[in-house]
Amino acid sequence: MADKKVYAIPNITTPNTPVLFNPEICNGCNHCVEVCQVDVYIPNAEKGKPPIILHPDECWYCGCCVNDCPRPGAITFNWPLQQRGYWKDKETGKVYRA
Amino acid sequence: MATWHDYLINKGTAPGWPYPIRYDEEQEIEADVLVVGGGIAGCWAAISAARQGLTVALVEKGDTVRSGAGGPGCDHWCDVPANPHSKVDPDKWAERFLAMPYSNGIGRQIQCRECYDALMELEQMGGKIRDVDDEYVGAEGRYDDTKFMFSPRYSPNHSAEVVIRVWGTTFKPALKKECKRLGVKIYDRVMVTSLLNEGGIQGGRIVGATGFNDRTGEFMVFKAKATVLSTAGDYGLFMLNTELSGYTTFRSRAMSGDGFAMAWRAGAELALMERTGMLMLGTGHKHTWYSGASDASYENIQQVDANGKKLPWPLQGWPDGGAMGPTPENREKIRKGIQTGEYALPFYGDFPGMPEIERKVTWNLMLGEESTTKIITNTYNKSGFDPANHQLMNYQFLEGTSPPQWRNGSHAGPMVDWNLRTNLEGLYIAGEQTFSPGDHSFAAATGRYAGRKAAAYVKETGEPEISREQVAFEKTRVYAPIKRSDGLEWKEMHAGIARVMQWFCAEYKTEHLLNMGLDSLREIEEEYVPRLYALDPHKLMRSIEDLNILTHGQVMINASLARKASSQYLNFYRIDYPEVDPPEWTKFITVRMEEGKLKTRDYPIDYFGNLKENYEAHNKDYEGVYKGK
Repeated sequence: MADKKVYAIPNITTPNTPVLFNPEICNGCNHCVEVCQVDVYIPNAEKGKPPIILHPDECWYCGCCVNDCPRPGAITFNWPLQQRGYWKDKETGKVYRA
Repeated sequence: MATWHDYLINKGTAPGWPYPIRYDEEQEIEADVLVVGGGIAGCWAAISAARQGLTVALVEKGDTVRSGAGGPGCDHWCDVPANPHSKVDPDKWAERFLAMPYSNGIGRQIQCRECYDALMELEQMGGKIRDVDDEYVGAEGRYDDTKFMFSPRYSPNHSAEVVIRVWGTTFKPALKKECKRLGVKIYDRVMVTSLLNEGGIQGGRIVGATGFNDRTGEFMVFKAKATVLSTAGDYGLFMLNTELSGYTTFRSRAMSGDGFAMAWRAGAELALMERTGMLMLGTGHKHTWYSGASDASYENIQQVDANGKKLPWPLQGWPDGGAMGPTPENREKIRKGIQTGEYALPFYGDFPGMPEIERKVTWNLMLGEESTTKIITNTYNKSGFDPANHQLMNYQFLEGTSPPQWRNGSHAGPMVDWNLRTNLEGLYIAGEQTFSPGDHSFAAATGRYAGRKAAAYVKETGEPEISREQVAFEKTRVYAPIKRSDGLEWKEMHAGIARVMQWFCAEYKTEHLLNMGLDSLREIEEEYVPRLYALDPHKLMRSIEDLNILTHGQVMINASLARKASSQYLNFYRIDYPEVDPPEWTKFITVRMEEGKLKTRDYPIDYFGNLKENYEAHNKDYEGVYKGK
């Protein structure tokens, strides 16, 4: 633990990960960068790599980037914790959370 | 390594700006028709003008493929009484809206007459508007001959059949494709900052606009014979959480009142600017709205309490015509029931209790297609939610209502005539910007109409002439924030303006408070705007949006001062003029600028006259699908 380099970084905007990229599937086509209404992303300078989430605070969770991704699984919606809704199994009464 | 701080830690440096910086470059574009805003209304305006053989430039802050409130999707094609299954007359349906004062009768008449035509054309472009794959055979409201699926909204027991369920996620890409096919020149990622008046004189003919690319910073000058303004409202005027700027305002931050501000500065007459709506978000955070059950798309679902007891809540189905919430009496009954233990919180939407086909329609079609909800239902599905077995939690009552200071400033905008033209020659308005609802079908029909009328004007008008002085003035104004590298960031500015509006122009309105609001906004303009800084073209866009929000606030307060009465319809209460909706004040009050001075004017509430007669007089050559019943 002590070996881990610690940087002086300001508090990070939260939530800051509206989506999760799977670098194994994402081929860096940047379609998500284009469909985003508010430029949450910028393209990665390294070709073929997933975009960088530059403005997570501006995301309005419209989901277009995930819905329109041509490579299923490359990008997954990551609902902020405080927005995750609940449901109940009608038969058992057990409550779950998204 | 997808977040910015990951990148920083891994690379030891911040990523460079990924786009070329072109602050010093300028592009000039000429077109017959300029369309400002590439949402639903804007795309339709562009298509409609291009069909007349004209050159069209369509300018959009995001990417036209998914931009605008209706960009992600749409589940209801509302108020389409000209459809073949309709049981009501389009002209009478339009008139029905007038029972509610402050309707835009012109827009409503256009919607009722022409939105079915737009829907038919949309289908030809590739939009899915009927159940061609027979996924929902047997659903109530589905007609087997046309495969149209009707929503119970406004149609108790099938008495009207005026709202069609649609696959709206297919619409925006289809519209962009059609624009391209027709040769519309699309300028994505360009923010329009001002309308240009002929001779640079406020109130003069509109001859184009200025803007800049929000990725490169390049300055853009558009010269056009006619302009259609199809921007949206402003959902952030009263509200900004500086950490979560994207989802505290119901709609995306891109909707920042740009249209109000540029029309105002150009001298357009604006109506209903004093009207506000409530942000219908208990927590101020989007996405509890649609995860809560009993909201716009939750049709035919019984609401039950934690013990499964039925609540006196409308089904939002055929018996109640899609009523979206309990009546005030029932709401009170539920509230009391919660306190006495009759009803146990939390409440749930009882999906398993629905007939299978209706459940499928609501969960897959309505919630799958409505704007930003597709991603929500997908997320639920992935995490194990199965509507056949699971009840979805409803957050109403549990989270309370939003404070009355959290409002939106939409459903206002330039006064329009039967050509959807403003008081300014060459300037046409479409969509939500026409002091009207944000319905998808309204935006489509009025966009299509405004494009047609703008095209007709272009054919009769002369060459526009741009004032270079006005362009130079605008360029200086727009680029000021990038010349500074410290001072005030856009979020602080936005939050500061929102606070002024919350304190001085929200629940408690008096002459004194409103004037304090004006003084406070003037102080922001004089003391803080000169300190606004932007580090890149994106932040420059946000900064210029702030200036629009500021202008919008000033216009709203001026309009609020002009209305010396309260109004339930406008969500407008003056403590110093407490009488609610007195007949002598049931009128439109417009505000505009002339030579830098505020001018107000009154219009009768029915200034548009007889809807049917006027519509027909102004559209003698129009050939739509609807031929009368």
